[in-house]
Amino acid sequence: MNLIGERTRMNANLKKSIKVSLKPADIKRSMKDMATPEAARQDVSQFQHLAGKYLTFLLGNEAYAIPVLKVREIIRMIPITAVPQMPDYIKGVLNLRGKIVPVVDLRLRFGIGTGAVTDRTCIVVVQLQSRAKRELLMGMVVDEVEEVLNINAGDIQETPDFGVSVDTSYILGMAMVKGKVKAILDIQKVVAAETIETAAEAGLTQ
Amino acid sequence: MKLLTKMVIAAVVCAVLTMVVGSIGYFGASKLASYTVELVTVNYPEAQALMRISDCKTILFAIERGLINRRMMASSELRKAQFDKEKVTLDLLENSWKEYESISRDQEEQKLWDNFKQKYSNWKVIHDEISKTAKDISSLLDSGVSTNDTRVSELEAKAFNYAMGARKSYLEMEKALDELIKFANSDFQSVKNVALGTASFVKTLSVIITIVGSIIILASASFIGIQVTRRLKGIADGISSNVNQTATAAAQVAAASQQIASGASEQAASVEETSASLEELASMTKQNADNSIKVKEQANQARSAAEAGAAQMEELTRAMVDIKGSSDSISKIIKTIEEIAFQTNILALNAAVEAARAGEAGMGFAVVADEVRNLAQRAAQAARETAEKIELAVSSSSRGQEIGLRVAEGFKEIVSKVREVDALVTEVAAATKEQSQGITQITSAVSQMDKVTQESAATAEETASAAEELSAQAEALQESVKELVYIIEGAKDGTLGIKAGSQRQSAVTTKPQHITIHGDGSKHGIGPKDSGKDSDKTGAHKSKQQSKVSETTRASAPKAKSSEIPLESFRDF
Repeated sequence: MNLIGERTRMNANLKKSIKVSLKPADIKRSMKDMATPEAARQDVSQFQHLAGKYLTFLLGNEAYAIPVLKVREIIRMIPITAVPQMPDYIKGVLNLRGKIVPVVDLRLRFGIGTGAVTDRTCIVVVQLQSRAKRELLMGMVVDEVEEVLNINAGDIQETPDFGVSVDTSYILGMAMVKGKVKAILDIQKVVAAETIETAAEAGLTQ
Repeated sequence: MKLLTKMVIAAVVCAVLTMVVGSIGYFGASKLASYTVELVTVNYPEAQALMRISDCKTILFAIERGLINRRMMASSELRKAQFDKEKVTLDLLENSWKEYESISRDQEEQKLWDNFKQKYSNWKVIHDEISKTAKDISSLLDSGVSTNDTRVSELEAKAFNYAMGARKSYLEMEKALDELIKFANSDFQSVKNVALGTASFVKTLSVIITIVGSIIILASASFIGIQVTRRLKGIADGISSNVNQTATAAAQVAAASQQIASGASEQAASVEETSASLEELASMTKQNADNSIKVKEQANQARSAAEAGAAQMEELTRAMVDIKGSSDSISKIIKTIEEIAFQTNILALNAAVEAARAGEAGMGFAVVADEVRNLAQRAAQAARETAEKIELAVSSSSRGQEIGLRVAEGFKEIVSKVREVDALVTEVAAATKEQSQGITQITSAVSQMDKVTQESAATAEETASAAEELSAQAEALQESVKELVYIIEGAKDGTLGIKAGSQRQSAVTTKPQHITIHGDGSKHGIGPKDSGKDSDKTGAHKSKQQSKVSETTRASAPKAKSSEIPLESFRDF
């Protein structure tokens, strides 16, 4: 489990609250092993609130899903203006039809290393709420955007506990769609409050 | 001192002694001869003459008696006889007188002779008277007067008186003659004594000198002989051993020469082989040269073919490049299409998002968005496939280009290699030429070597034969040494040849040695061969032995006898 240390190293200059030692791949793998239709049906009622339309995207080899309502826009990869003195997962800002939107590199956020920018790389602009309950736009660099699909409650399963001190609260659940496991992200938590704060303090957000 | 000097000295001593003895003998003999001559020519005639004179005088005296004897004068025959006798006797006396006179005398004798002469003349006178008287008587008687006649008687008495008178003178004469005769005898005797003395002196001296000389000669001869013998023996031994060594060495040389000869023959054979190999090599080299020329031609052809191929390849490459260019442009177009599809996809997603946000109102829009997305995906798919195909085509083309490049390179390499081959072949041709030259040289050297080998083989043969000769000579020398030893030692060993350590079997029997006594190994009987070689050396000695030997060989089984032969012969000798 070297990656924990690596991640710890990589996030050394992160503000202390973020101790994301997540390995979504491991999570998904274990989920696949464990997942059975019967097990799924047990938790149907639990995840009713998670059912709905999701936008799925790929990060590395793993698929994630975020609720479509949170998605503001999907754009192709465009040049990002770098901003100094930011944590490394904050890539910079971009100009979205006149709006300045901070961009986060989810790979770095998840600590799975920077990926190559392909022509499929997209920026998903999501709507978040800041601490002051204001609307906040953040861009996330993802490797590939898949589709918008409907996830039923019955497809969703509990995020397994790995017995390690990782904060898996940002994964709301695991969805089994078309034989693939997609982790449902709590985007609010992924792009955590302090990041937002930092960004806000930096005057990057409106 | 040199042996020669010693021997010369000994010989000189010998000669001197001999000369001394000889001269003593000579002089003794000559002295005796002179004495004898003296005796014979002087003393004996003297004595004879004197004796005859004496006899004559005696006879004359007797005749006187007869002449005065009547009876004796009786017959005329007697008278005649007496007168004859007287005449004869007087003649004889006169002859003897003359004889004596003719012989030389010394003083004393002369004195005696003169004395005698006088006495004789004294007597002679008387005698003549007597004779005359007698003759008168005779003539008277002859004339027929009788014997009793007084004349006769007178004459007889006269004669008688004369006779008586003559007696004294006769006696004196006789005495004088006796003295003379005695003197002559004593002279005779003295001469005889002198002669005897001389003879005995000579004899003594001879004996002494002979004895002394013999002793000296024997001593010196023995001494010299012993020395010489010893030295000769030593030399003979030395020569013998040397000869043995020489014989051995000669045998070794012969063997070595034989080896050399055989080695040379082998060498010659090897040289022949080498020659043959060289010829093969030369022919192969020539072949190489020809082949290299052919190779050069082929290489040229290959080069031109390769160059043509390279040109073709270049064209191919150009075509490939063209293909690539068009493929690239197609790819660009496909990329554009893909981008469009992507954009469309994103657009569709955005639309779906907006539709979802719109909720119920956006359901239809969501369907439309979905379809658009599908379309976009299909377009993207098609574009992808096309892109893949183009990719394939491009990769094939680029592969083909690569291959073409490689082939072109290969051709270039071929060309360069061919050029190298060309250069190498040229070098090979030059080297082959040099090689053939070298081979020619080697061939000539080998033929020289062959010649030299032949020569050395011949030389080795000669050496072998010379060594054989040397061996034979050594053996002959050995034989000579044996003979020398034999001469020196005589029959000490009892057999011939054992001492000299002959190469032939020396131990078992002596017969072989006898038979093979002469180095050429011919096994003849001993007799004739012996004479051939040895007669000049030891002459009689050997021939005597040889006769003995041939007798014995003729006689019986020679083994036991042969060892005795020389001893026997020596004993005889």
